[in-house]
Amino acid sequence: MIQHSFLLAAIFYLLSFCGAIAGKKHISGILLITGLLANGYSIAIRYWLTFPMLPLYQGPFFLPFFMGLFSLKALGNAHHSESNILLLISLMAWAALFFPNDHYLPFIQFRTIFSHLFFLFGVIARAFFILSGLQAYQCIRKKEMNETALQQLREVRQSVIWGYLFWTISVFCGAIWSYLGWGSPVVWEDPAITTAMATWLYYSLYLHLHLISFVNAKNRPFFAVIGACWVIAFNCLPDMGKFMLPNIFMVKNYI
Amino acid sequence: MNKLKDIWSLLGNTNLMFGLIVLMILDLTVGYFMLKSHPHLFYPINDMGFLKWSATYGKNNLYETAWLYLLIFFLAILFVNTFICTTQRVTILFRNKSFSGHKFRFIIKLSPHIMHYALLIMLLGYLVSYLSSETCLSNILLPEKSIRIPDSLYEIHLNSLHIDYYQGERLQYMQDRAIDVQADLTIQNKEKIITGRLGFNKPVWFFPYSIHLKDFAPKSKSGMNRRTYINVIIKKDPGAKYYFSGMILFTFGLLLYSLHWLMERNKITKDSLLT
Repeated sequence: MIQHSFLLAAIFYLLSFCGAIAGKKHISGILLITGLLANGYSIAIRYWLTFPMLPLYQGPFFLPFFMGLFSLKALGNAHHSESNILLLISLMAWAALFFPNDHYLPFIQFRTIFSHLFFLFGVIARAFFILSGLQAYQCIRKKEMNETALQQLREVRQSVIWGYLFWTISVFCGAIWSYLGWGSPVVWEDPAITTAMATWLYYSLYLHLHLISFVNAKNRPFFAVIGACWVIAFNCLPDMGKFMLPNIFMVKNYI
Repeated sequence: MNKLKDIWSLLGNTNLMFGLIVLMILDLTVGYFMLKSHPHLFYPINDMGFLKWSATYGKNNLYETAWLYLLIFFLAILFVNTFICTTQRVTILFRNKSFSGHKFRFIIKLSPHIMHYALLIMLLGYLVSYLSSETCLSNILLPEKSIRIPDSLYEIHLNSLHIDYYQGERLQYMQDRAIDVQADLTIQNKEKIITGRLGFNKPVWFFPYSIHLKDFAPKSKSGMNRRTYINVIIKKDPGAKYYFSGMILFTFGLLLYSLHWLMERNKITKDSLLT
């Protein structure tokens, strides 16, 4: 049921993207919402089947859901080219389906609110960072700085601030969890600790860019795009596994 | 005097901060690949403390560990840079009379600086922790038996151990496996006796130590009948209170900053976005 509902979500995301390309905005919106419902159902079951432990390393299944959810309002705005966002949500969903990292047994140390906040806030922050990159990309494509471009600049900064807030709380919750469970705020065996710190530093820098003399406002969107690429490469892809055909595609299951 | 002023303003320069953070990101990227390929070299930092680790693993594997030394160097400069830059701005903010009678506005304007000072407290906490914390690993406690904490007069006694085994159907992989562990401990020296219940993510604190549950047996109801025991980590970390205070303060500043952004976002003009 988990895989079926997620496959359904991925199909709806793809159809929503096709609808956006065809210029059918309303149909695209309805398909996106349907995809979100299927995705939400899939991740709710995923959580139900592991709670009170944590579905760690299953972030890729959660990411398209949060990206879709946070971009719903933005997609309603007339100035947005929604196809970019929908394409990325769709790509993320299909990548999660074919590159799962499922084979991981939860352990009792997961039983704390801090581990859940670490995981969920981390995924939410990634969704905001990637969205900020997409919004910034749309800003870059604009040739003149009109009211629409300014609104997009505001949205980029807003997404970065939300992402930074959730990322920071996620990192702190991870440190508290690590201290309670292992007696140290940093467990030096997971390389993700370095990339989490680098992401935090990068977006701290982004929030200071207005103080840097050689970076002007027109360059700032480039930083958001680079940040989104970094987040995908170092915070999302490591959560994925090797290529694997999902069970639902195996013919033997249906014979 | 002028030279000192020049050094002060150079160290507090925001462009220096930009360069430092870029270098730290590059350094951490190298660290990511080093940690991924040699995790066994870095894991002992928690157990040994940084100084002992540095004299053994760090020194003997310099090619793999150099990024960590560089990171500490960059962090030290960032610490000085943040302190100077923030102090300069806070001084200006306190001299500004336009906030008199607008306490909330003043606190909101102070929020980024609260975050910066919180970061400094956190970094200090980590420094104290890595330089002076002590970890005692693999302390096996059997029911109704005691062990002594090394180099102290404290004794830990395991009074009883309660293990709950999962019996439901929802978590199939947990069937008959332990889902919760609680150990009742008594810690005593000549002067005082403390009792506490230890569990996963539920350490027992008694100044200056904390006890963390690392492992236990038996883990499942079925299978071989293993002897009942718990394995605990005994930690003495004087930096913990500092880095956790820093985290709380940083979160407070960050929430204020976000609130400020939410309140002001519709008032943001073209000029403020483009400068």
